[in-house]
Amino acid sequence: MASSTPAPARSAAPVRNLGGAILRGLTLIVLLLIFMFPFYWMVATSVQTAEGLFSGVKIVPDTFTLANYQSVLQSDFVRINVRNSLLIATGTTLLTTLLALAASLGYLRYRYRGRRFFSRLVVLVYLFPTVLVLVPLYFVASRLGLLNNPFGLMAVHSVLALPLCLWILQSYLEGVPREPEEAAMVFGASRARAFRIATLPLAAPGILAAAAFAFILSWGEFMFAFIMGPDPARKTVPVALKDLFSSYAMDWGVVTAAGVAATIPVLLLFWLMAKYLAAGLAKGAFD
Amino acid sequence: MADVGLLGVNKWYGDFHAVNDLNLAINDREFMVILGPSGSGKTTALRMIAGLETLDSGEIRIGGRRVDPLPPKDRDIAMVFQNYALFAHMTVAENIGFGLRMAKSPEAEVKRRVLEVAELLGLEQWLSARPRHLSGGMQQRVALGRAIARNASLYLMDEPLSNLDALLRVKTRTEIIKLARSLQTTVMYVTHDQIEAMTMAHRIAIMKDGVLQQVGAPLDVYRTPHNRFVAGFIGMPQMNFFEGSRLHRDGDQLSVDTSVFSIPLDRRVVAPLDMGDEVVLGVRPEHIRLANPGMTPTAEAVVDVVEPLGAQTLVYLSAGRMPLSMLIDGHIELVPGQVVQLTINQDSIHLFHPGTGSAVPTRTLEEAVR
Repeated sequence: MASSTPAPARSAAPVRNLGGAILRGLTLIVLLLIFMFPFYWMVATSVQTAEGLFSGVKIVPDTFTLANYQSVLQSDFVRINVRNSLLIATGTTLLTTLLALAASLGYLRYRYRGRRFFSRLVVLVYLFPTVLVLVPLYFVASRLGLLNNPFGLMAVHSVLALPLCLWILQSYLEGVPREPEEAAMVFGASRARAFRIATLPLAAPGILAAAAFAFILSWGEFMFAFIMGPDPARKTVPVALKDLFSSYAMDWGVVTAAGVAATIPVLLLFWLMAKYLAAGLAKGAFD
Repeated sequence: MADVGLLGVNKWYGDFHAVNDLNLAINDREFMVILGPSGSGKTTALRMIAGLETLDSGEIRIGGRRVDPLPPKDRDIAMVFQNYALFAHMTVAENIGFGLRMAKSPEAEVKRRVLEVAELLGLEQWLSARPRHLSGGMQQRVALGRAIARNASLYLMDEPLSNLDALLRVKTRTEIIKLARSLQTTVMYVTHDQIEAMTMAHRIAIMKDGVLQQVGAPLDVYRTPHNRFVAGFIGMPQMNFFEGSRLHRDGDQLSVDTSVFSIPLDRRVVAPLDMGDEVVLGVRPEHIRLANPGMTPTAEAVVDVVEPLGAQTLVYLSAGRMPLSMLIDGHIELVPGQVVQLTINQDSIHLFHPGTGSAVPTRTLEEAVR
C-alpha cells in the first residue's frame, strides 16, 4: 500500500505469457465495451433523425442530423442551465479546494492533540448516506435564505466534496518534500510565502486532482440541486435534464443531445488534466 | 558572524525526549560539528536553531539576541539541507539569489553577488539551468551557493554530504572547510560521520539520545573521551572494550586485569575506585602493537582476519576467547592462524565505569604529587 510508484508499476508488470496477455486484453475490451456502451448509445441516438429513431433498434445509426444539437443550443438549456452549473461548479471548486488546502496544511504543518483522529473522522462522513443530511441541510439553507441561491448550492456541494478533496490533497502533500519550503523560510520568506514559492508548484497535480473532483461532483449532483433550486431560472444541468424527461412527448434526440452537451465540460476537464489527475489520484489511493 | 548559545533547550515528541536540557555555546567564527547517531537529537537541535522546530523550554541566542520566539526569516541564518532543498522550478541563478531577493537587495547587487558566488563554486556555466539537470554534487553546490550568497551571521548545515558518493564527499568536505575559513563565519554542522567531524570541526559536540555527551576539539575528544559512548563513536576502527576487567593491587604494583591479560599501571593513580572494582578497559586498535623480540608482551593472540587497507592493516584477533582488533603498519604481513605477541602501552588505555559508562579519571603519579 505504501508504494511510491503506484499505478503504472502494476500495468507495466512483465508479461508472463502471450495467452495471459490476450486474456487480459480481451477482459479490458469487454469491460470497456460494457462501460462505454451507454455513452455510445447516447451519442448515436443524438445524431439520428426522428424517422431513424423510430424505425427499429440499430447499433450503427443509418441517419445523421445535427438538428437535435441545434435545438439544444437554442433552448434555455445552454443559456440558463449550463451557465448555472458552470457558475456553481466553479464556485464549489474554488471554495472546496481552498478549504481542503488550508485544512491539509493545518494537518501536515502543525502538531496538536487529536490531529490524526480528526483527520480520519472527516472521511468517516462518507459512511452516512447523503440523503440523511438532505432534510437538515434544506432547513439550514432555507433559514439562511440560501434556497434558489447559487451560493447555497456551492456551500452544500462543498460539504459533499470536501472530505474526499481533503483526503486527496493530504495524501498528495504528504509526498511533497518539505525541505524546499523550509529553505524558503530560512532564506527570508514568511510561512505563507514559503508555501506559495516552494510547495505550491510541486503540489499542483494534487491540487488539480482535488479541484477536478470537486468540479465533477458539483456538475453532476442532482438531489440537492433539485431540492434547493426549484426556481426554473436557477436549475442546474442535471435538474434540467430530468425536466426534459418529464415532458409528455419524449424527444429522445434532444434529450440525448443535451446529455452529450452536459458531458462535454467534464470530458474536456479530464482530457486537459489527465496527466495530473492520474498522478494526484494515484497518490491518494495508494499511499 | 555571531556566537550562538543554547540554554537549557528541551524538545519532546510525545513521550520521546528528543533534546534533553541542551546547553551549548558556540564561539564567533567557530566551526562546530554536532555529531551523533540517528535519533540522537542533533538534527532537531539544528532545526530549533533555524526556527523550523519550536522549543518546549529553554532559550536560543544568536549574536546575543534571543531568537527562539522569532520566525526563521528573522534569525539571519543560512542553511544547507541534506537533500539540497532547491527550488525545482527556479534556475540555478534564481536559487542562489533567492535569499538576496527576499531581503529586497537591489537587482544589480543580486546579479553581481550571484555571479561572484557562482565563480567561487564553479557554477558559471549552469546559471540558467534547472537544478534537476545537475548532478547531486552540483545541486549541493547550488545549495551551498544559496547559503553563502547571503551574508548570514550563522550557517547551519544538516548532513550536507550524506547524499553524495564517497569521492565527491571528500572533495566537497575540503571545499566546505575552505569556504568556512575564507568566509570567517560561524558554522554549525550536523553529521553522523565521525570522520567529517574530526576533519572539519574546531570543536565537536557529541550527542546521544538527546543528551549532550561531550564538547571539545577533535583530538581532545579522541584522546580523552568522557564516556564509553564517545570513546566508541570517535575513532575508526572502533575502540576495543574489555568487559569485566578489574583493578588489581599486588604490593606496590597496580594493574588492570582482563580475564586473559594484565596491563601494569606502575605510574598511575586511579582515584575514585577501590582496588578490586570492576571496570571496562578500552584500548584503541592503533594503540595495540606487535611486541618486539625481547620485550615482555602484554598478551598473546591468534590472528583471525587480516584486512589490508594499504598504508595500514586492520587485524582481528582472539586473545583467549576475547576478540580484539589492531591497526598496524601496512608493510607488516600476518596470516590467519598465526600466533602473535602484543603490547599495550599503559598510557594509551581508557577505563570506564561498567554501569554508567563514564570515564574513570586517571592521573599519573607525577600529576598526583603535583
